[in-house]
Amino acid sequence: MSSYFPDLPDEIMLLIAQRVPPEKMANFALVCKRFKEAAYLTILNRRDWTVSAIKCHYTHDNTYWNAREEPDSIFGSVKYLASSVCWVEVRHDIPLPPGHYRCTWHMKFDGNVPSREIPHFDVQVGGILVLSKPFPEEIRRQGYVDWDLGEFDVPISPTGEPTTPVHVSLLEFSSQYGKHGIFLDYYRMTRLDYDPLAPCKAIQAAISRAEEEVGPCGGSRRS
Amino acid sequence: MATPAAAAAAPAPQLEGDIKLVSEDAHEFVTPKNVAAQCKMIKTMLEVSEEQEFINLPNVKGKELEKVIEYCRYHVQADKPDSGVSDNDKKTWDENFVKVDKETLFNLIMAANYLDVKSLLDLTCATVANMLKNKTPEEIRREFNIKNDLTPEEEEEIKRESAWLYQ
Repeated sequence: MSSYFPDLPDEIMLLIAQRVPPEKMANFALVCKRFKEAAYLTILNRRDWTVSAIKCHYTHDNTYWNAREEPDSIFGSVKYLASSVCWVEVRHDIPLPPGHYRCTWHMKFDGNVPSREIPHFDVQVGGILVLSKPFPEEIRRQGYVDWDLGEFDVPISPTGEPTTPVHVSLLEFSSQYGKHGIFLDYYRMTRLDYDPLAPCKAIQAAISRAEEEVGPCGGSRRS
Repeated sequence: MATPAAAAAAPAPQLEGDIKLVSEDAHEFVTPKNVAAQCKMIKTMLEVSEEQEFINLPNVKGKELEKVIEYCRYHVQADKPDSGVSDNDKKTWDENFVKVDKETLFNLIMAANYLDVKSLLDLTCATVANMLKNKTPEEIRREFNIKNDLTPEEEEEIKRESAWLYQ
């Protein structure tokens, strides 16, 4: 029986990997080394990273913070702060490749946040605070909105890792005043310097470097 | 899937007459130049010299070249604004077009890449991705005769990272 994949050039492997849904990518990567390389290059070159609020970590999960179905949500359900609570703590970690990003929260606010101690949406890169924006009270009762936290950079990892941990949070636990009516759907990291051809350029650059070292590799499948 | 926009992206060149396309295995196809020019590679060659009577295509076999020409011929007509062919009809036609055996499908990918037919390359790569997406790694390996050369450590690493990296 023939195996067709070994004959495909790297750029074709990437085109195929780019058409595999992100949630199926782990299976794709587990097939063999070649699939894994294509999956990594595809993932590291995504245009955006959208994380459901369901995946975040909540203090008082399932007591004050609850999940509920939301037909309009792209994930089908959202997290909402049903009862009034003074300790608001939502956290999530996402590793991102180097680049310039915008962070937005898709959210709704129908309740109350006392002005004395306003929660902040924060983003930390490698432990350094790069974005901090107070809770957007002006969006109250406007339905779901894309709340823009701003732009930030993820630098090249000094240890050579392909990604750097980025910490996303919504925090306020210094005041005794209760907060409620917050609905979180997802947050999105949009790559502003996205280049769809970046993996192909990286492959070409690697081939050029290899050719400089050992001479042209005529007959190679890698184009 | 080939989108109408993608297929229509290649403007119909003002080329008249026919050109003979000769495949790697010496099959000859006399094809209208405006159909052949849907392949960017051929279009460039025609623009360099309109007088040539044939073009040798040493990287495409006759079976796949015939399919590529069939694809281009259909889309030259169907993508015209006044063709009356709906987007749904084109999508159905594309889906039927790629209902071929695996060997032909992969050869079509190589042919579309070599001849530079972007919409056909998108269509064929999406078809392969669809064949893979609902299968386990073992099922993919079995179906496509792929050897698992990942070490147990690499597999563990992928599984460990999958919770966040592949979300």
